[in-house]
Order: sequence, then structure tokens, then C-alpha cells
Amino acid sequence: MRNQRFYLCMTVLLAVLLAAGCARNRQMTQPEKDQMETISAKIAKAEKMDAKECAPVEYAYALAERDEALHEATEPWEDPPKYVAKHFASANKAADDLLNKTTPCWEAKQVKAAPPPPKPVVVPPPPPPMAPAATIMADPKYVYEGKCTKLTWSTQNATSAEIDQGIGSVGLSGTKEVCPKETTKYTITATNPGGPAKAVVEVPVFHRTTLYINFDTNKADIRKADLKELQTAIDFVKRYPDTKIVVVGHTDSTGPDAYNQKLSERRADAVKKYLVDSGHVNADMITAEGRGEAEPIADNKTKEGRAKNRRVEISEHGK
Amino acid sequence: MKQPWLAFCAIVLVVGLSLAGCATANKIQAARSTMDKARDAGAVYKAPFEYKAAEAYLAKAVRQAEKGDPKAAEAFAKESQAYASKALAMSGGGAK
Repeated sequence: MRNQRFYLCMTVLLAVLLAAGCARNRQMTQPEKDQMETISAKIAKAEKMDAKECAPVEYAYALAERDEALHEATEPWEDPPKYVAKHFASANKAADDLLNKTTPCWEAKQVKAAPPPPKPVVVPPPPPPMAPAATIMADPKYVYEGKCTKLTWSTQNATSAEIDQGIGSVGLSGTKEVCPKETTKYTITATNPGGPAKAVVEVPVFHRTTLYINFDTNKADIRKADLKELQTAIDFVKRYPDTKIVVVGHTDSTGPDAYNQKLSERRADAVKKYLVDSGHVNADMITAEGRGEAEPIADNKTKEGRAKNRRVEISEHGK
Repeated sequence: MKQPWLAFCAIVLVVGLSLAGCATANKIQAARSTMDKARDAGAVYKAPFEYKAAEAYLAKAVRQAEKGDPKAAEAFAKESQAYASKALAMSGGGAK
């Protein structure tokens, strides 16, 4: 009797456990798995095409049908294949309905959402390059024959620069020593895509002759012995008729500066007077000035050097 | 009583099954109630997918309950409840 009760209780316990779902789920067959994958793929595809918006009802039914089919296929006690197949067919149809409604809706949305053709991009023309500019100057502004001067130039907004008279391409700014033989115009051409710009400097070349006249000490009178030397001066002014003549007197360093300055001026005046008196040059075309001992051309410590420094320079300065 | 153990086991079985059935029915009822609120809040238009999903899963839950599968019925009822709550929230309903 006791055994009967025990088995009965055990049976009841087992039934409860089964009912609670402790039993092992049914395994889907391979065709069922494939079918389930196909249904899920259709739903996923519809999801990507905004099924929620395009076909909310079909989407909801398809999800529920698929989940029910999955449940029925894995139910422990559900084994008649026909019954499971019916659920799969129902889920598949729901998925097809969903896809059929979603696809055209999605395509229509895509057409609507297609971006308008891009507007032609108008690239504004680049601003015209700023016109270049150039300046050029010479220091000293004029030279005597055989002497040199320094050209200095600068440019703005230029990409290249060139100076004529055989100098050629130069930097955008710089300096160069030139020794023209005749009065020369130097033209710098600064260039950029906006065009060229030019600047010109003229370097006059003047001619000069030097007279070595020996004045008596502290005197400025022309001595007869120097008349031959003065003929050189007359020949010089004859070569440059109607030009400005400048007579510059110099002394050696003997004696005080102020005295030498006055002495050089008197000597220059004496030569000027001689030339004017000779009738070869008008008085208004000739000037005289003294430089004292300031511009020696030889060593004042030697007798020979001092003799060279006591001189008168005559130069022409153009018309 | 000649067989008291048998009677006890039968009572336990009946009570157990009844409790399980009641739990399923409560969950289905709760989902249905939320769905009704969502519908009243305009979920049919404001959250059509969520509302229809709640409706579809509720139908599945009822069907499973009728079939005698409380576990599946509860699972579907739970799903239905989730969608119904979402539909209710999206429709501006819910607790005030």
C-alpha cells in the first residue's frame, strides 16, 4: 500500500515538472531551419526599407507569425510536421505581404529623397594681381669718365626684375656697381602676371681734366710758366662748347684748413678768369669753387705727393 | 479516508495548475488593458506598428492559452504588453 502511494506521488510530481516545461525542446529539421532563415531575412530586408513607416500592420503581423511559427516548431510535444508546416506557410506569407508592401513604398521614398542635381559651382575669378612697381637710383648721381656709381633698386608685387644695358635679370631688390663710359639710362623692368612696370635712372658721365699749376706760395696768380698747362684747359672747354664748366681748386695740407680753403677758391677763380678772358667760355657758363685740402689725390707727406695735390680740376657738366 | 496521500497529491496538482492558469490569464488581461488605453490615446494612428504588434501578440497569447500552453501564452502576453506600453507612451498616454 505504501509503495502504491509512493509511485503515485512520484507520477504526479513528474507530471507537474513536465507541465512546467522542464522537458527538452523539439529540434527543428534542416528544411525548417532554412525556411525560418528565409522568413527572417525577408523581415530584416523590410526593416531596412523602413517597414515600420511603410507597412506597420504587415510588419507587426509578420513578426508575430514568425515568433509563433518558431514556438510551434520547437514545442516539445508538437511533432506532427503538417501542423508545423502550416505555421511556417502562414509566417512566410506574412513576410511576403510585408515585403510586397514595403518595397514600392521605399522606392517611392527614395525618388522623393533623391538630392536635387548639384548646382554648378561658380568659382569666382581670382582677383587681378596687383600691378608691380619699381624704383631705381644711382649714388653718386653722376660720374666722371672712368669712375663708377652704385645702382640701387627695389620692386613691389613683382615676380621678376631685369635691368637693361647688358645687366640682365636681377633680384627683386639689390645694388650693383656700374661704370658707364657715356651718359647712360638704366631701365629696370619689374614684372608680374599683372604686367610690367618700369623705372629709369640716368647716370650722366662728365669729362674732367686736371691742371697741375704751381702757384707761388700763398699766391693765386697764374705764372707764365703755367700758360702751357692752361692751354690744356682751353682745349678742354673747346671740346665741350655751350656746356657748364666747373673749376675746382685744391691745395696740399700745408697750413691751416681755413687758409687752404680760401687759397683753393682763389686759385679756382684765377683759372676761371683766365678761361673767360680767353673768350672760349661765357662767364655765366663757368663756376669756380675750392675744396681746400679735403680731397687729396696723393700723399701729403712727400714733396711729390703735395705737388700732385696742388691742382685745379676742370670738368664739364653738360648743357 | 482510506487513501489520504492520493487525495493530497490530487489537491496539490489541481491547485498548482489553477495558479499557473491564473497567472497566464492575469498577464493576458494586463496586456489587453494596456492596449485598450493605448487605443484610447490614439495609438492606432500615432503608433500604428506598436499597436498592431501588441494586438497580434495578444492574439497569439490567447491562442496558446486556449491550446493549453501557459508558458507560450505568457511569453506572447509579455511581448504584447511591451508593445502596448510603447504604443501608449508614443501616443502621449500612460499614468497621469
